[in-house]
Amino acid sequence: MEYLLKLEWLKNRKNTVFILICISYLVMLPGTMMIGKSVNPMPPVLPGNFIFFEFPTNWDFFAYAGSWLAFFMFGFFAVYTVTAEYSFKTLRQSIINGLQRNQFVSAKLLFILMMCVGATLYYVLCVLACGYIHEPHTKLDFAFDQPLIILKFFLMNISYGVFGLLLGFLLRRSGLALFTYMIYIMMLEPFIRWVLVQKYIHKSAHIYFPMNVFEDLTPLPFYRMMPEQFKTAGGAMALVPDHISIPLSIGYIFVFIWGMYYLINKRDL
Amino acid sequence: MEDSLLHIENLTKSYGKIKALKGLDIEIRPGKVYGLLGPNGSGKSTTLGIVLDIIESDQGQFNWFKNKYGQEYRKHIGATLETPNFFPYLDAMDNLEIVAHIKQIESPDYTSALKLVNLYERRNSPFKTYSFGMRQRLAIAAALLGDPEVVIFDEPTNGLDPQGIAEIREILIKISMTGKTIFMASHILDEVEKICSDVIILNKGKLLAQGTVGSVMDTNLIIEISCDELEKAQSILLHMPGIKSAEIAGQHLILSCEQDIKTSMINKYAFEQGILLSSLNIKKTRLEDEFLEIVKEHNS
Repeated sequence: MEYLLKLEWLKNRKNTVFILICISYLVMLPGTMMIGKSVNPMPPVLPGNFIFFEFPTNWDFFAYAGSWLAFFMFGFFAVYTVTAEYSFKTLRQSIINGLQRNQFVSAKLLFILMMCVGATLYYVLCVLACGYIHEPHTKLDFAFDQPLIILKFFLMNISYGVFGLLLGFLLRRSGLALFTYMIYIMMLEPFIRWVLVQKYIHKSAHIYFPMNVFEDLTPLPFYRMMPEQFKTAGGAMALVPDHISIPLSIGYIFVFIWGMYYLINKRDL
Repeated sequence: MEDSLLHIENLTKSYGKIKALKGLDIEIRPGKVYGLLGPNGSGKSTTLGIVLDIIESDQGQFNWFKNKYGQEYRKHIGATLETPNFFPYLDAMDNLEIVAHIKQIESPDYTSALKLVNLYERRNSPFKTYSFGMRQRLAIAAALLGDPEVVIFDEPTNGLDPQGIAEIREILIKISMTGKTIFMASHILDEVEKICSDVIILNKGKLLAQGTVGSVMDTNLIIEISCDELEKAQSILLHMPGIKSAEIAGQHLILSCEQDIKTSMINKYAFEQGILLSSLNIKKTRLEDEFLEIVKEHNS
């Protein structure tokens, strides 16, 4: 494991894309939340903009901001890190030099995993710092009112990363893979879900599609604040509940990982 | 199989309807310098790709070092296929560090490798700033890192200018003199002839010839003569004992003779038949001629 992580570190430590993504993430996760300061006045159903910064709701808002950063940064980096190796032909050369194909995939996965661990720790740090700055006397058990959100935040990060890696291995060309990543998440899957599945299969079946499940790990917090009758309006669930989204995400992540190992072993390089 | 470095048996590979390799058998022994020859599409790169595990064969098998290293065998091979492949944003040292890490080389000697290919002065420049010749030289340095038992080069002078070709050739000659096993695919037959001890000739995915350069080359003595009446000389000299063939090539007559024929004997015979020769030279048989002949025979 150390061998593979060091290999990825040697490749990325001077890589501008990696450095920019790390810096941007460190700046933008807390930076995005500062937008909450300028939301004034708040919509009538919400008590005030303190919900962005104070426990326990700040966990949800930071997680939601983090999900956009994961979509744009970890997903893009995952696509880039694989497709760049195809275009530089360094994947091929690594195998020639003695790396096993499975090791190549494992190294990429481990590196993304470490980035996600780092992002999750940073998320916890930001939430705690923000929460205690705004409410210095909060008790620890209240601050950690919903510990499951940390697991969900980590899974959400991993899911975008793994999906990006899979597209990288599948399509191999940077432009095509990045375009597909964007189009699938923003257009293709919503089209399949809303137009095809909901209309022709089942009203609630559409919510179990992978990207929707990943998104629902850290949804827009206002969803959770909605009254129950709105959440199931028209007999369709608006959000995937945690007891389904967590195991289903893990399942999708494993399927995507299997796909990567399958692709790299099946094809000529 | 004894003292075999690489044993290839019945290797077959198709790309759709195109059969790139048709049951190829090759044996590579240690300490020799092999030249893998063949026209474009003959299966050279496919063969190298398969034995380096970047292409899957349809049938057949190969084994390196008599399976001494198991799945780790590629760490004992230094190879560069087609183009030099490195991270463009990293410099030579960083790229070599990645190679050394993959190969798990304990104390890599970057300095010697870079000095051998004359890149030491540019070791801290990003790879993307290198000329193609420099990139090719870095690929050779990477292949030599960790003193591998065998080095493989696929068209090492492809795309280089004459100066670049000369530089690479000089480096290859230096490596060949160290006694290391070299397996080199090349179009430049002059280069193969100068560097290699053995040749393997492929065409359309089949092995046409394998052996030492001397054994593959024609053993006949080739003599080139000039005179005023080439056609008359051709018909007369064909009757001389020891001369196997006589062909007009431009302003010359090319004679293929038995090894014990001397130029003085030809001069005397021609003079006695009333032909005055204006020049008479022993022509060294070139690998290129032999290669073209073997491929031509196979194609016909």
